[in-house]
Amino acid sequence: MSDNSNNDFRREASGASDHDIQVVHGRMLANQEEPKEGYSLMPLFMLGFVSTMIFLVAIYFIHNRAGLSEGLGLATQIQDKRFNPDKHMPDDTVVAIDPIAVGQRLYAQVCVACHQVNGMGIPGAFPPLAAVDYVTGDEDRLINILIHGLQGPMEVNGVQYNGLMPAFGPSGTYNWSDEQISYVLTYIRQEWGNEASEITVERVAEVRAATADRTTMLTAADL
Amino acid sequence: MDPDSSLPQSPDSRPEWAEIDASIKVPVLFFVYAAAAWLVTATVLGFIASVQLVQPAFLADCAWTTHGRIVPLARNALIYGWGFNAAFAVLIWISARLCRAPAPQWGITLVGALFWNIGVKLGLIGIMIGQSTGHFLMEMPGYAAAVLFVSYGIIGASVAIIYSRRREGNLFVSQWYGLAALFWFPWVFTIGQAALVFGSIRGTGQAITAVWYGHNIYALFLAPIALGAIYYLLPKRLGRPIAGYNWAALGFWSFALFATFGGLAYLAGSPVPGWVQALGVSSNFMMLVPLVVIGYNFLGTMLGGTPAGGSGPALRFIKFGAIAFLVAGLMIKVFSVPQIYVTTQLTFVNEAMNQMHWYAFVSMSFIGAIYFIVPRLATHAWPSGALITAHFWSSVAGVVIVVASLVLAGIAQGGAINDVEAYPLFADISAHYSGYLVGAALGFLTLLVGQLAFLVNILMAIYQACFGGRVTDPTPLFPQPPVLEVNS
Amino acid sequence: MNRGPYIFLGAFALLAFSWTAAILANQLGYGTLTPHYDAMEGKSFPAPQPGIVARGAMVYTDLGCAACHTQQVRRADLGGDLTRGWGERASVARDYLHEKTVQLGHNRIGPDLRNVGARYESPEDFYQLLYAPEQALPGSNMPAYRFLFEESKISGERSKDALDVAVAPGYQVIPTERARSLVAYLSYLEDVYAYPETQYVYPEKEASDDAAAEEEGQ
Repeated sequence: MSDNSNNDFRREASGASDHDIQVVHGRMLANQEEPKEGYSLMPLFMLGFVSTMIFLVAIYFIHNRAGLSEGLGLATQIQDKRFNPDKHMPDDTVVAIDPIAVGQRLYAQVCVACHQVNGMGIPGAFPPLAAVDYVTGDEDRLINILIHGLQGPMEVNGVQYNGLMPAFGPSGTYNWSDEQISYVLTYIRQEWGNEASEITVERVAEVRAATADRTTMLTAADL
Repeated sequence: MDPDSSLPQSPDSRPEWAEIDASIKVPVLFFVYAAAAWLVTATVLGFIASVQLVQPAFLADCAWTTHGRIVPLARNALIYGWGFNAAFAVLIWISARLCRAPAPQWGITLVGALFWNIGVKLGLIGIMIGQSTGHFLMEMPGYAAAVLFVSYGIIGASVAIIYSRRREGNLFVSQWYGLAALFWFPWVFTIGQAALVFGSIRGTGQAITAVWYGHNIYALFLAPIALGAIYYLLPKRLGRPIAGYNWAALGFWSFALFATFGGLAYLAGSPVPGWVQALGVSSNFMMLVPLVVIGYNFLGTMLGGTPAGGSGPALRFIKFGAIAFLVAGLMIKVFSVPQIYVTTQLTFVNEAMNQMHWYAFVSMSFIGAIYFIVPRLATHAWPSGALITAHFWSSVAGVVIVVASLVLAGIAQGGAINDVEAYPLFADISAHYSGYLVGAALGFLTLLVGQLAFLVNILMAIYQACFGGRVTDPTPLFPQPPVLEVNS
Repeated sequence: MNRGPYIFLGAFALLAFSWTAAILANQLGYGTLTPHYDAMEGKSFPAPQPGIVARGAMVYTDLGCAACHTQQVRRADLGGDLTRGWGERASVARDYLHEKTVQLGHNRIGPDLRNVGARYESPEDFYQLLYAPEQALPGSNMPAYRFLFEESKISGERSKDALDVAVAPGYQVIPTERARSLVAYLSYLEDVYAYPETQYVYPEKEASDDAAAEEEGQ
């Protein structure tokens, strides 16, 4: 502990006092224009170096900005400069919907339980859909049945039925949209040998509006 | 010759410094002790994690010690335990000394310090029992983060008061870094926590926020304070002013501006917007500007002649830290080149870069500063020179082994993952690089030896400071330094 | 020179700029990213996470699976992910919309898991992997997750959930609730839906330079 040497490994000596560090460096900043030997090259080098870096990196960034100019929202879908949304991204708004395919899916989810995969129903319990005038005939009647449901005794292709078909409009539990109703109806009108016309979304909307007052299910008498 | 610094009534008078040192002694020594204890903890955890990579069955039977929890534990202990405690010690010392102002009531700072360490412990226990938030360096559960925030408020306020009381008219470059870091951390912390832990950002926006936070804990808090320590200790130890000091301001602002986006480069190729990736890579290349400026400052000062006070641990560690900063800066650029990151991304190279930043640069600089600070606060020389030598060489060897093994492991790993024909099975890939991981585990063991020496030395130094008798006049121990001249 | 206020204001402006560019801009951008409604299928993609899957994601997070596994399938020009069969297509930002905690990961010590639900058919495969990875995948460096399973004495009949692994006679291994959730989450990880932004297939590395040159020539 009593070693007075300046070079003791266990207690390094300071080379400068804190106050001197402040004063000397403060003066260095204040006198920066003072010309010195070989000193003037440094600002020139720094200026050239910094501007070159900014130039090169700016080129890199602009080249790789990948959709930043398309807006922040679209940019979240663009992960690389080679991806060009105008060229490579199909337009969301004109995605063609195949009514038959969607209708088939809806049919498979719901209707198939009663009317069966082959559209023949179960004789005496659930009426068929293939080769039936109710299906391939009047469009409005068919839309009406789907929106409001149907119950009570009726005869289809010479067989007597007394069942209940639920409403798919707002009064039932399904509450399908105009699109869904039109797709599934188009599907059943063109499947199993049926060759009737397509039912448009607009037609469904018209029928829905025209019969909005009805609160009860249809019966055979209404058809 | 500078007339101001040899005025009859020197501002360097001993009683004034004794007053300043006394005002910061207890909290700084506490921070140093806590930091060293956390450093040993973090390295033990890092060693366990690296052993688990080679021996998967090691400590795998308990959920608390499964590899996926040990890894964040080691990381959080290193950053919030060691890194922040050491940063607080260095920041308080540099601020009080360069502002020539005593700290306010040290008891309050000590309470902040105690709560900070309680917060870290709570957070680590939270991770261990399965409450991790899952975001890089933000794994600690929200309640621990709240404790950390409040205790930082206490510690930060006491540093801010030192600045407000300052008696030096100038602000030295170390103070710029310190002052800026002081304000950056709470903002970065609040933004990160508010966005990810307490709020929620959608989708991969979370990943962007997490790397921004994780990198800025380094770039806007730990790195500025470590740079401040190097800027302070180089002239202080060498007895020479900083070379090219006029450029230090350019270095400071460009470092802050570009380093803050550097983390985004980790997401190059990930499912995040392309411009975010480009911003990260661009910033990493722009980091060449601060790297050249700061490198000129550091190397110019270091190579300017023989050191005034001979060799010593502080100078050695600081030099290592300064060079590691420059090497890490160059490595980051190499790994930002698209042709190279195709191989090295999502491999151990990321981990190697973390070790390079956190350990080789930040920690080594903090250790250097601690070797300088502690004898002056304790008014006793370090108890053991042999432990210092052991610490230095095992740290150098350990860091080099860990970083080199992880880089080699990462390159082997990335190459094998991309070469589907040669390595169709994943087991082949892990077998291909597992040899390097043995090296990394040995590297952690080497580090641990030195850190235990460090901890023992600090405990003995603190014992001396408490019971070794009061030294009223430390002049024989630390003689008045020579006068600093501009053109030395 | 008193530069304190300038440093303070400069530091504030700098962080505000960094926050605006990195966080706020992305918050705005991601705010407009919505699940993709497929009128043909009548569903939105990505599919919402059922409760057990969301719980499994929490298990994935708290066990730190992301320490070794990434969840990002990379483009054809960025490594061998697609050749390796880690996905049918590269991951895009929209895939992660329903993840409460996005775990992109940063080290591939194990394989990528973003599309793992498509690679393993049955939950049993996942249980085997979690219980005894070394048996399920020889040479694997994955630790075993025995603590996700319970070994119990068979009373009466063997449980139908019991794993097909070798244990002491009269005993069986049953996955815990956490294991079930985790496996439900892993099975959910199946990014196969083709969004509009995934229609473009990035050329492989060699071809990409030509493609870039071609595009610049246009």
